[in-house]
Amino acid sequence: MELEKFSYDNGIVRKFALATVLWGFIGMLVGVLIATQLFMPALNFDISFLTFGRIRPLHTNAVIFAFVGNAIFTGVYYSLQRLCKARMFNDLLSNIHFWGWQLIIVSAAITLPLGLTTSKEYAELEWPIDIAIAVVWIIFGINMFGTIFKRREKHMYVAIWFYIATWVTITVLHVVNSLELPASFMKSYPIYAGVQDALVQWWYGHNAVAFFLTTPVLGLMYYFLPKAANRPIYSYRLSILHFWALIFIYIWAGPHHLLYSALPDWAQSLGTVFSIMLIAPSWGGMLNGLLTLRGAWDRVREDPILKFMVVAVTAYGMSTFEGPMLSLKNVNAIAHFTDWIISHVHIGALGWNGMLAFGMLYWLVPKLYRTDLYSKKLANLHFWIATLGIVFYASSMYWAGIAQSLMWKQFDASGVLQYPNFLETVLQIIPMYMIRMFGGTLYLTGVVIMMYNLVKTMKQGSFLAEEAAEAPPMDKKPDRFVKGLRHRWLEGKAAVFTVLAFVAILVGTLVEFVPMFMVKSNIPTIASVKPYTPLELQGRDIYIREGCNNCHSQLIRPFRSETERYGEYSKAGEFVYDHPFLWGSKRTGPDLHRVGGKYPNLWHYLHMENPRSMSPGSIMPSYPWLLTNDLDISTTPTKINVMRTLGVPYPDGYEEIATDELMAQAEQIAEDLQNAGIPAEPNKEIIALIAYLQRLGTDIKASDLSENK
Amino acid sequence: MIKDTLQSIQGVDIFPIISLFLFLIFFIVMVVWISRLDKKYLKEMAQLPLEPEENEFSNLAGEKNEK
Ligand code: HEC
Repeated sequence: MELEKFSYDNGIVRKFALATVLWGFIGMLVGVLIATQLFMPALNFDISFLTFGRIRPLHTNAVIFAFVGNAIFTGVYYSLQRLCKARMFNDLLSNIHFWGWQLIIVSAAITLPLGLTTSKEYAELEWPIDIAIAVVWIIFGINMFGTIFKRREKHMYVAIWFYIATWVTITVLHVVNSLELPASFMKSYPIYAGVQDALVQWWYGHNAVAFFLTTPVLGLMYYFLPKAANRPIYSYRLSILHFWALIFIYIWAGPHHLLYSALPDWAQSLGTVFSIMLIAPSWGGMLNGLLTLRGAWDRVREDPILKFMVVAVTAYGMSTFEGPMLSLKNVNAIAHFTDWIISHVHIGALGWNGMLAFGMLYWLVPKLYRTDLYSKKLANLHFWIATLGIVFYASSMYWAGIAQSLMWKQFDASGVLQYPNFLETVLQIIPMYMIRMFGGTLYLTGVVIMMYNLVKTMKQGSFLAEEAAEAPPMDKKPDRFVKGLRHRWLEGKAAVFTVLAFVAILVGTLVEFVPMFMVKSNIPTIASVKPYTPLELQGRDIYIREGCNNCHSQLIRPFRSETERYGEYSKAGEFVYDHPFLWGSKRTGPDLHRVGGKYPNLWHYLHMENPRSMSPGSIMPSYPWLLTNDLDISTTPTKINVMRTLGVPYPDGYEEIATDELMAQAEQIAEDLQNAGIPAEPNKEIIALIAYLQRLGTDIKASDLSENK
Repeated sequence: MIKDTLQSIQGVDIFPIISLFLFLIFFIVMVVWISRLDKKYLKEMAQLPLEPEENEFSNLAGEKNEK
């Protein structure tokens, strides 16, 4: 048959590879900075842009979407062309994808420190950027499917299925979780409230981990591990099972992030059951990767690339075992809200994602530059430093997490909390925070060594931008194989395959969502729960802007240790006007759901100005600018209108008197502060924030509760 | 409290049962399917990433790709 001549586009692969390294460095550097702030809060220099609450999202977004994202695209653009025996569908689309993605990252790096955030974890970016993400993602999709449709190799290798499933699922996740109503340029409210918002968010959050940090990276594993080891994957059969089981089950497990929350029991149980089932395909995949190296372990000892990959695959196995364990209710009761979870995600991020990306880069860059790696020694050094970094990071955070949990739950002999002051439990684990920072710094040092090594490699080689290739056109004739039910039939039909993958993820989504939204009108409305006043609403937006939810939860679980410490546990009906929900996921500081009325206004005023004045040794940032910034009240009527559109029952015409009511309430608080000797002015942001904090959790009193039981 | 409300929604307890049922069917079909795949085909698929490339440089200092 006639061979067709064409060339592979290596230029786009190089671009994504460089971006991976650059953003990886920046994202991890920010990580080290916030890790340091947790024992040295002064390190934010009292600059709002550098406070923990604002730059923790910067760190998570940079690592997930900039570092791992670009690594995924690097691998996809390299492997897809080879596996399809075709150049990328369209060079212009490739470049729009590349520059569009980088632009989104830059806009995130600007807006997040400015406090422009939706507060939803890993979906913090505001609506204009959400739209940009959707556009760029679709361009990537067109480019990918275009390549797949013009391929010369009839069968789609398993890596490509993982890419397809990734694309389909991320599209659905992003759209559903970003449904929000703009209140202004760069400010929006999600259409869901309270419990539903939480369910949608953690359906998204869980599956972002599944379909952004796992499935595409598994695709890379199925391509680059055989490449680096120069031998085929252990069992192709197992990889088919791995794929279908994984994408079918993953979607269902989202509710395990909300155990003991106000989410209905059956949904919680479903999340647990499916989480446990996830172990099977995940471990199948891990074994498939590791067994590929059977009989070649002597090479693993020699070859740093294989070492990186072995640790990556092992970390995949560890975190996919730990994840389901954490979704068991009794384990979850201990681990949730603690630093244990931070350890868990870093086994995934540093171990699985990072190590696989490094292995891939060490393999890929010499290939693109037609040379050998500059220094195998340095690569080995990187490997050991990174591994050590992970060990320090993970062990310190496990320790911190377990210690925290035990202290939170410890009662003394007379039946009262042993550590009634939350701050005590924080101060105990400060040394662990220091060790964590040390581990992170080691890991970052490894990245710097890699940068040097790769640059040297590039210098000594010559870049091959257009790699000539030839292949016969796709054989359109029926298959050579005839026996059996055919997965290969599917592999020949990219469109059918995509639809099936879509159906697989949709089933789980619908089973989770339908009842949740049927419940919508049925969530027990507690009569005494009223919409926020205009001032509280503005205060809530300041809480969101400053990212207080990155340290504080607003969800008291029904345990005696929590009700003793914080008060009555949280009810679903209390959150019906919360667009967005602010339950949080980690308690670096105490829960705030019932902080309303706990302290006088004066306490909050002084505490926000400098937490250490009220709580010596506190690691909470100071917020002096809240005392001097004027509150922007011009947005009040719009916000009321948007909230009403979303179903919050503000009476008609309320937006017209809202500003007056806001002023009146602010005057009251300011007067109270003035009486206490503080020259507070009513038009400052701090007043709104205090109003919000004092409102929290006060809607239901013990008497209302007994009526509603 | 939540439980009572949910129970008042007709047939909410059927959801987990449907899910499990769906999942079982899915799994059985998949296992049957995969067990009946052709060996020769599987072998060929697994070889896909490894087909020889133009660019024959090895990836590591001083070490040539073994063929
Ligand atoms: C770096 C994590 C962190 C961030 C970000 C943070 N806090 Fe805190 N917060 C803490 C810690 C730790 C404590 C406990 C020690 C103390 O009282 O300062 C605390 C305590 C509090 C308390 C006292 C709670 C009680 O019951 O005693 C309030 C109120 C509070 N924070 C509000 C806020 C607000 C509002 C924001 C956002 C503007 C915020 N915090 C941001 C860590 C944080």
